[in-house]
Amino acid sequence: MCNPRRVRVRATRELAEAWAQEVRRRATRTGRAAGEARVRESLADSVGGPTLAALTDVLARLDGWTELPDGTFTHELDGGVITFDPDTRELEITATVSAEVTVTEEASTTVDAQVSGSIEAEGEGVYYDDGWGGLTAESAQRDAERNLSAAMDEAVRQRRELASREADAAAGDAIEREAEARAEAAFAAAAAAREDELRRAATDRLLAIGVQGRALFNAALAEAYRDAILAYARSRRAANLHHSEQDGVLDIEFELEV
Amino acid sequence: MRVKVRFRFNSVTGEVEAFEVDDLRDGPRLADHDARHDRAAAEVARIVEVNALIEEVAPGAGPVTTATTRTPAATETPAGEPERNRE
Repeated sequence: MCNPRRVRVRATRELAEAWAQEVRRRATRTGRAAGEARVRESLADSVGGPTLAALTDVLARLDGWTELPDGTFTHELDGGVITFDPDTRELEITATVSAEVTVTEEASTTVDAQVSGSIEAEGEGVYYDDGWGGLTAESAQRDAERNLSAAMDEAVRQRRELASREADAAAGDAIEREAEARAEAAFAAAAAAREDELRRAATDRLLAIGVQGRALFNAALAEAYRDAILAYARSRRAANLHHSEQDGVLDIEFELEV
Repeated sequence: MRVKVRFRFNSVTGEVEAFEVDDLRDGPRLADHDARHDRAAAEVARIVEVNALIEEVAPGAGPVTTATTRTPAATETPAGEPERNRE
């Protein structure tokens, strides 16, 4: 055996191809749809002014109640919220039921792609002068041409693929925005379609929420009654002033000279 | 004339279960007894209730419990008014 000899073949191919291809994008929109049910009651015509004034101070100091920038007080409930507005003296209990909604939409269009220009490729074969291993000049020529053919096919494939990607990218952003817009619209429709069902569930939940909310509010109202009545009794120098709170029952007694 | 004020609020039910102003004075009634009693009852009642309905309970009629629902229910709940018992 001696040093190997090589046969190299080169070829140039002119490409001029055009085709239509589909550009498709998919967008998924996930969010929550919610249904609410609420009940309101005005305390302005029932609870006395001094008690309502005391109630604001009570809510400001009780744990769990949060004063919002607009002056209302809220307390989170298990699946809802209770709100009291000192200005309107309105109590509101809101039950909320939400569910995750996911929609997927597609958009597509057809674009033209094209590839043109020269493509060069090379193939190589190896042989030995003594024909070692069956590698002769003839076999080397065949190998070189076969390798050239494979290299040319690969080069063409890559050029086509590049052209395809470029055509896809050129239209892709617009199609993606269209798919996202469709998904947004579909989400809004799907969420709206679930709202009635969620509102009914919220109405059912309002019963339980109401019990929880009333218990919280009544506890605050008890403190407000106590503070307001005791303040009055002390201002009138009441005698035999007693008050107790047990098992959620507030008792106050005092005597006045009138 | 001395009166005793009793107030009871049940935070479990949200009801004012008792709100009474009792005359503690023994002996003959003062000439302006009713007026004084009414003023005292109204003054205390305004702390608890707007436009409280004040009713007199005759001696021996026994305690009268009045209830007021103050918090909302799932259906509209009318607000009641506390009453004053006078014995």
